[in-house]
Amino acid sequence: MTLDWSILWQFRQALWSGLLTTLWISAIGIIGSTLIGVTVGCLGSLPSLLLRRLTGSYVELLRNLPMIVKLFFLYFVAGLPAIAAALLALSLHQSAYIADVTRAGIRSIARGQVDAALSLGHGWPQVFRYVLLPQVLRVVMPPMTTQYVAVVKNSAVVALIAVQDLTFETQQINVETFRGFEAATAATVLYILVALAVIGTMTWLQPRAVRR
Amino acid sequence: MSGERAQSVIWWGGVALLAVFAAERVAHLEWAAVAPSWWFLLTALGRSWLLAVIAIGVGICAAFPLALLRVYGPPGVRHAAVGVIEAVRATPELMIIFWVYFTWPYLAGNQVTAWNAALGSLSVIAAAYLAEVIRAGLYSVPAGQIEAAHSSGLSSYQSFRFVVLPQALRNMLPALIAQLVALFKTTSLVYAIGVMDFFCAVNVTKNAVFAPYALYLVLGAGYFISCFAITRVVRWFDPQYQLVE
Amino acid sequence: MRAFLLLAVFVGSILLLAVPARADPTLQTVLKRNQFIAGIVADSPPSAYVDAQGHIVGYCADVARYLAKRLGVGLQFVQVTAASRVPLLQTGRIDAEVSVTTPNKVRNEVVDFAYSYIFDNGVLVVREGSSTNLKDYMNADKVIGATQGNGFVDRWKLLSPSAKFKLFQDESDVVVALKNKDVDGYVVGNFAARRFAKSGGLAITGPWATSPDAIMVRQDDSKWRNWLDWALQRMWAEGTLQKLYVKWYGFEPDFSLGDGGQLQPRVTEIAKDNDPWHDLPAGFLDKLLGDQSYSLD
Repeated sequence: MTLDWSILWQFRQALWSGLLTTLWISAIGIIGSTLIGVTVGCLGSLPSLLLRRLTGSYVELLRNLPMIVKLFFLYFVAGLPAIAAALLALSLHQSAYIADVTRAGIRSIARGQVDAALSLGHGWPQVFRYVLLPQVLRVVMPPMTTQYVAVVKNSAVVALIAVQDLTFETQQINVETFRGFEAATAATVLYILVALAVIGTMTWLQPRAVRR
Repeated sequence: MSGERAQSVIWWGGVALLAVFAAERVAHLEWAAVAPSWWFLLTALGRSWLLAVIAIGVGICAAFPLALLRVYGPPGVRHAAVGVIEAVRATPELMIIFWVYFTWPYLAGNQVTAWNAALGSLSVIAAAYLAEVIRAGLYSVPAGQIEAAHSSGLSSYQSFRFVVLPQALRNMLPALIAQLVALFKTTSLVYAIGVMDFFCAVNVTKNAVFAPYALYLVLGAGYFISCFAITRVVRWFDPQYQLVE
Repeated sequence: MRAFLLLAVFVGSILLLAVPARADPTLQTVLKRNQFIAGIVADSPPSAYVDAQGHIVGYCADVARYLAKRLGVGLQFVQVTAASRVPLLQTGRIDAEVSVTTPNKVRNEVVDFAYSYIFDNGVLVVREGSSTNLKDYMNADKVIGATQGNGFVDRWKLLSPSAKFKLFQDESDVVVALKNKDVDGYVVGNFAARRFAKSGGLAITGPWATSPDAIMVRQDDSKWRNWLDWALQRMWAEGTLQKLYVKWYGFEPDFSLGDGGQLQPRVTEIAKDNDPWHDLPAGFLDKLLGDQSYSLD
């Protein structure tokens, strides 16, 4: 068996466009899932039974269903265009995990701290800004990194509904040329690079976010 | 209290309404085509469970030392632990399974069955992710508490065992549940090396009979029930969680 | 630094992989192992699929059962996917892929193929009520759906160079996309098309291309490929292949096996070396052609 790496160079345009698609789908997925997830997580931390039940069920329902089921539902049953279905499925899927991370972050802070700050005469915005946020960020950022990397990796599922992402393009190399190992290597290396970029960004952000 | 009761009534009413609506739609799916495969699908779900349980078991055993090394280990060892954890977490799970299956014979010198390769790679994945969960739990305990424990005369081991660990375990619970659920769903990737897990079984059934909607529902239901069960089992270990709920 | 370490480990494992696979001829390996390991992509009835009890069935599966019996060895099926079949073959995990793989030149640079043993007619599946004239779909306005890697995609491109494709992973997903008007036509083999048409709301055009499918083997393994070619021709000469065709596809093969539709002269002569040809046990053929050929495993 001889490996022919030039095949990857030959398909560089396809790989590049697949990589770009994966990048922007992941980026929107990360933003979307953070917005939804943090909102749901905060709502779930409020002292209301109904809100707790609603957000709790949201998390359980979305977290316990595989991404492919959501994708299929949005694309085939709800009839969204492929890209919209992909972005929404990705955002919804990870938002469940992020809501949980947020809720756990808020829960990790002793109630007494908030009460103490309030009784000292600080307003809610100040309490949130100087007491809650720094501590929550400290607890939440490492698991958020995991979630963001998961968004990148879960984005591979969109190839199932004919979105031409990195997975789709590497599979295309495989089925066209039968260079399975070369295609798998390209997929592995490129996904690792994207994941490392996400991890690197978060590692860079973490001390800056916590210190302020 | 009556406010709570009203909210509860609204909640269960909504759930019941949704259930009736969903049942009406679900009844019209292509069940006749899927029905003969029920036993085949069920055994495949059992196989997924077996994979998940073994991988999680091995994973937790490996994750604890890995996390402890990452947090408390000497510099060289710590970096090695970081390297292993981050390498696994940065690589797509599908690719880990693929490469374990194909490079194993060259690294270990013997052939490996798809099943063992699946177990091996899932265990590695579980170990890396759970190590991160455990690390986050250890970090969630403020350093001041350890100092306080030390100054009150507890040894390093004692302060870890009686001060850090109990709090860490409780704090890591939500992340642990999320990760176990994610791991169960990760087992679906072993179809790539030809292991007949639940996902693979649904897929081959989908290719054998034309009943896409019913089968995607079966897929969703199988994973939902399994992941839900995992969530409940883990929560059962933590009475505090019930209180918070 | 971390990334560097990671890549280094990775490149290392690739280099290990690049070590040439065992040069043992597969035929020897199969006989020594006393088992024929057949890779099969079980996603396409009636050629190869998994029945409701989990048995691997279909035309390809039955051909593999016959080949193993003639080799005088046991049979093990390994379910493979589009992504894993070639790596599995190259690393010697399977001895051959007995499925519906369409040979083409670029693929042939990497693997070898035996004589084609299935010829499927390509048709276009469209929604009921829309045009069944193929010409109406050979333009850039219509979106053509197909599965990734399907041999008919390349052929359609030859006829309609500006064609727009949407490529899915599973056949049934393309059908749902077609019904949902996300694609306008589905290029697929006749066998699959007939099956999906039964679900209603679809129409099938006339055939527009013929695509062969063949057993795939490792490259430079000519003794093994020769044996498979001989075995298929002998199967044809004794009429078993045609009977299996009828059993699974419902009609006599509309092609003839071999070069230009002719068997090699003297193909039924058994050679002294590299040509195991065991007699079939009594009742084997009846079972193979019957409903429960999976019980032979």
